[in-house]
Amino acid sequence: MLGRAADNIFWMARYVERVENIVRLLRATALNALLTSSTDGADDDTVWARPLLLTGRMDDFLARYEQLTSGRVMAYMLLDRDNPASVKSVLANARESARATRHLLTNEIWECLNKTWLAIKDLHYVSLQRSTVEDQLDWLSERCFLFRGALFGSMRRDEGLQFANLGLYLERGDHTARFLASQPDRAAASDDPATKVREYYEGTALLKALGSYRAYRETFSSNLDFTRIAELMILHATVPRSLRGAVDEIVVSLRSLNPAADSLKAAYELQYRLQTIQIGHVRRVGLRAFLFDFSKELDEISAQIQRDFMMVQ
Amino acid sequence: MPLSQPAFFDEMHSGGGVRQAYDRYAAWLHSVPQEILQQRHDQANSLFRTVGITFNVYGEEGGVERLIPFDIVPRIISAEEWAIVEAGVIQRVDALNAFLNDVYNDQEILRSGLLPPELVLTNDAFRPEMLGMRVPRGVYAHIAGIDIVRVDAETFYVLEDNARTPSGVSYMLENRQAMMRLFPDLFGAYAIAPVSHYPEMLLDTLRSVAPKGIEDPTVVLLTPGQFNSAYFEHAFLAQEMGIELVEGQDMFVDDGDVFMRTTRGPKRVHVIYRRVDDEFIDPLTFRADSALGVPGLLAAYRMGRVTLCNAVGSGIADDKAIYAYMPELIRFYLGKEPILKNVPTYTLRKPDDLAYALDHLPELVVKEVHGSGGYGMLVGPAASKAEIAAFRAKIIADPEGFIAQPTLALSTCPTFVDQGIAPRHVDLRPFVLSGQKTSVVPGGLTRVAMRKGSLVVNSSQGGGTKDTWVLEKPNARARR
Repeated sequence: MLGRAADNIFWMARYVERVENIVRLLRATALNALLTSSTDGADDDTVWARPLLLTGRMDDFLARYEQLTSGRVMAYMLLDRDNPASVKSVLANARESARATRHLLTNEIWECLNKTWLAIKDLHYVSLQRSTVEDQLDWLSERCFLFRGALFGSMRRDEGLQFANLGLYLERGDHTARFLASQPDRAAASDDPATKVREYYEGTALLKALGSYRAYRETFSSNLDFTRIAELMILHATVPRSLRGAVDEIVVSLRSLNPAADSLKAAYELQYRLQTIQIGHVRRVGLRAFLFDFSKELDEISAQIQRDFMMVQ
Repeated sequence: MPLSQPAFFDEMHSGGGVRQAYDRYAAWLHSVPQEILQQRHDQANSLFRTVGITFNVYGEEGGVERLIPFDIVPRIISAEEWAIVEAGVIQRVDALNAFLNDVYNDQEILRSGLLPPELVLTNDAFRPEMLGMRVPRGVYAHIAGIDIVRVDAETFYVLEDNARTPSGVSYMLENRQAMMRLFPDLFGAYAIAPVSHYPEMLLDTLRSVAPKGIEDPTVVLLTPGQFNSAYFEHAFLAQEMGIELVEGQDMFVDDGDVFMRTTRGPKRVHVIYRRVDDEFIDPLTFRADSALGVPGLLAAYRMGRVTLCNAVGSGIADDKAIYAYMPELIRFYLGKEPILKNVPTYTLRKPDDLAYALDHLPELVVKEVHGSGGYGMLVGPAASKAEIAAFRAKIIADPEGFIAQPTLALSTCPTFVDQGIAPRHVDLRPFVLSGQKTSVVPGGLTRVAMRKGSLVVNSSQGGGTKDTWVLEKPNARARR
């Protein structure tokens, strides 16, 4: 396979995963806003700032709009072509990557992406009522699942699929790490009932944003606890959106592409660390510092993959 | 005799009643309510949009994707008619290839006095870099599109030869797919010759011209990239043939061999089906500013390490100034009479022809010698006085740049338009492949001028396409 083609497939999958992550983020934000809304109906700035901060778009947003409102954030993050992190922009990138290499994709994959793009392309905020935003987000998330179904159900078990897998899991690992790192600092467990209730709802929103609420309930038969959430999302291999889960997939794909690749060695090291540490270690290092290191290593693996497989010249 | 003859030959209706090839189709068409046709038409559009069968329009914002209008009424050609067209285009392409082999090697035609040497040697499409090079099997135009029009029941004219990088074959294939999906019953009622094996024939052709000694050649398709107007076709053909779709940046030349950059390191390339024009193919030889080509490619080609399809310099054969001499060329190289007619052509570099043309502009079609795609032409009968006057000035300024032809009465075919079913003018482009042998898939691209009365069928000028059904002889179906 051409290095450039591999690069396009890698990015196609990476962009679709990014779409799904933005959609989850927006859904969780909307949920959070409902839980924290005050009686006067005003939007909670700290809640709606989250998607902008996480995608690094706060400065741009404020430069264009004076005020942070739920509607503006939703429009900006979903449909704004001038925002490179919006669903519409990222989806356009995904489709362009697919178009550049569509001769290597099955019709199912191409048509799934193309139909999604055609449906979102001419969608503007005026046609998006508050009541239908939820439907739109649900639909987008379904399309992402459909994309993965088409990918794993129709692609030949060969290089192309491995590069798609790498794009998907690098993006996912990166997103989970950054999302966890963006959580506000929390004091030690409080006995104050009001704080406890608020923490319960925040924990729920956090797990839902990472698609791991059920996983938590099935893994721990205990109340929501932020240390346990961190443990689940960092160390548990069985959770599809955990760091460990993502790194395991990266290792598998790299091993099948080239067992001697330098990127595989780096991935093995990262995997080994996640296999052997306990959550106590993460707490000692500090959650943010740990996640920051993790993201950096993931970036290095990503760059090494580009070099190993001639994806960049 | 009917009181008034229609001005144009109609593929379905001419000669009193429905023509035989259309009998069952016409019966079906007249029994179907308008709403059903509209529904099928809409369905076809959404089908094409989902699959992404689009073309990019020159001069518009980068990446604007448009659907080419697709008409749901097929153009039907009987087995007997096809036999003439098939033999005619094969003969034509054989002569084109013989001519190319000759002008780049022995140049007998130039010594014979049949063709003014300056017409070839000073032509922009002539590539002196190709002189004295022997290409595999002596084939230059491996893929040729011959544009044919019909004026009555018996007479087919060749309007234009396309020997550079003819496009449109993906529409031929996708139109058939769409028609089979939309009208399965009709395919039961007719024995229609299949076309979907074209990519296999193309791959066979490309493999058959690999450099000497290469048993299992690696074939690639070179595209200018995804913003090219025909990118969909490039991706489609690469997928159907199972070959890599490469851009110039994906390849490099090392010590005379051509390689592509793959995830497992450099891989040798033997045959390049290139959809990049001559001028852009090698910045070391042609346009230095081209980012679409591969530095050193022409040298590798001349050394015989790689084969380019079509050959560099094939454009001289489809030049409109050479076109006028095609009947002579067929006689010269093949010793046979041309099967298909040539449109009488006035080459305006000749003073007599120029004088005649200037006197008769309102009746003539005038084309730029190097033009294509329906750009920069004058259709006299459809032009205003001002347009004719402006064109006259252009001709006088550069007579050598133009040819003139009588306006042909292109046949019409019933077409689904806003007002219902109405006749529209059509042409036909069969695709001829030359490798070990010369062959043509039964069918081609029928282009249709969607505007009433228009004679220009090019997609860049608002033309659409139709599926083309070549009917099989009754015994042909029994044998399969």
